[in-house]
Amino acid sequence: MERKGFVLKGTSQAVEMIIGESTPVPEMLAQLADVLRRRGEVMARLPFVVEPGDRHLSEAELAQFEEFFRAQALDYQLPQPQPEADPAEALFPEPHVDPTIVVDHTLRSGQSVTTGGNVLIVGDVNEGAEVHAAGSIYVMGTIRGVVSAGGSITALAFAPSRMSVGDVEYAGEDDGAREGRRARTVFVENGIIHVDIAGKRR
Amino acid sequence: MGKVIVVTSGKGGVGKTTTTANVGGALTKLGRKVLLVDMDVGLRNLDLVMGLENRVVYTFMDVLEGRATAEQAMVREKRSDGALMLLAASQLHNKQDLDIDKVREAIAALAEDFDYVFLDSPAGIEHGFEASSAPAGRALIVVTPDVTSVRDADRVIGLLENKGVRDCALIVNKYDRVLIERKKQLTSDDIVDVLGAELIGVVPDDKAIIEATNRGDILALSQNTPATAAYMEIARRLEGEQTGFAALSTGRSLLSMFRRQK
Repeated sequence: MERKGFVLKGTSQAVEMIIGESTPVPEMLAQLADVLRRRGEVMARLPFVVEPGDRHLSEAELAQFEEFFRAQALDYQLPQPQPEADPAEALFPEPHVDPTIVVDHTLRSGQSVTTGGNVLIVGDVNEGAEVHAAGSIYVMGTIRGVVSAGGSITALAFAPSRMSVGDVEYAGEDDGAREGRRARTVFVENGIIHVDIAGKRR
Repeated sequence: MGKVIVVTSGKGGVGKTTTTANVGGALTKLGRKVLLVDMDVGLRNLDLVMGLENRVVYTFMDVLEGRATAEQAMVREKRSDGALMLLAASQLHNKQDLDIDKVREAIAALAEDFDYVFLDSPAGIEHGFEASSAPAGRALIVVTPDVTSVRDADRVIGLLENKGVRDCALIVNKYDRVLIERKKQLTSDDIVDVLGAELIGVVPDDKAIIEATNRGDILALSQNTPATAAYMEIARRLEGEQTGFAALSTGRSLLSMFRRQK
């Protein structure tokens, strides 16, 4: 038998319709019509209670349920419509970014990485290489090339040819790429660029 | 089956051809049979550096295009008693004329008869470089202590890695201790740090190399100079031995330090 997008649970007072997370409403209703055709006489006397669980039903979807139950001449109870939540806000408190990319080698002159998310580079970013990320950049090595990030930039040593964080261009000097290999993070706060030992922030 | 090694650099004028001739020569002193192939079609030089320009009849291109056999085209170097051979580049063709599949096939066949086959790549990263690196299992990257040379070498190593040639060893050439100690040029440590590849040789800036090259004489076979010692070190390292880098040692013997104190 075809997998249904819902589970029916009968009690003495009602038929609970627990709906799945992804099946589209029209498909679900077609499946329900099929069930009613075959076993309708058992359920027809009881009201249907639609139980959405974690699923958010839009007003249009609720209207589809309503129309269906009316056409079937069934008693029904639908969940209260909820205000339309901003899906981006609900799932990602921060602006949505792609997942982190891992580059497992040194980026050499002429190689480049551009991503809508974060990037982790296990190696150096050499002179003539470029990394551009909408999120943050993490370099387990020395930055000598061109890097720009929407978030922050963390590296073991900084000697970039050009570097920008957010809209701010970093004009810092070569910090002596060979001195004490302690990771540092470059980030922007209130429009001002800061450099701090990595992990110390917040 | 011999080892096929490309000698390359990206940048021109760093000493690829001279290095090819001398490392090849040094290996013959260790009893190896070596073939040097000039891949710089249209701008051939290796025959001059080896002093064989008058002996070239057929070129590698003639072999690739079936006008001559490899045996007919190969030229023997004079001093090495047949252990060192040259396949010259055609001066009448362009690099685009090299068919990479044919090059790969021909080099694989030649490698059967030698311990080492060196491909002397042209400068640049275009077709000539592609054809030179395609048959190679290993690369020698020649780099001088200059920022320009290091950047180009970095690019070339990246390209070689993309092609699957992951074994790249560095030869730091024209190493001028005086300039480097005055911090006017990069040290070999700086270069290795940026390029992240194995160091296999440091060749001092030695006027004897220039003179020998212009004479058409392979220094490693004809004289004993600091540069010859460096080429021998590279040959030994290619053979798997661990040796130091004479060009990097302080150069002050205990005796001279004692004298200075007086």
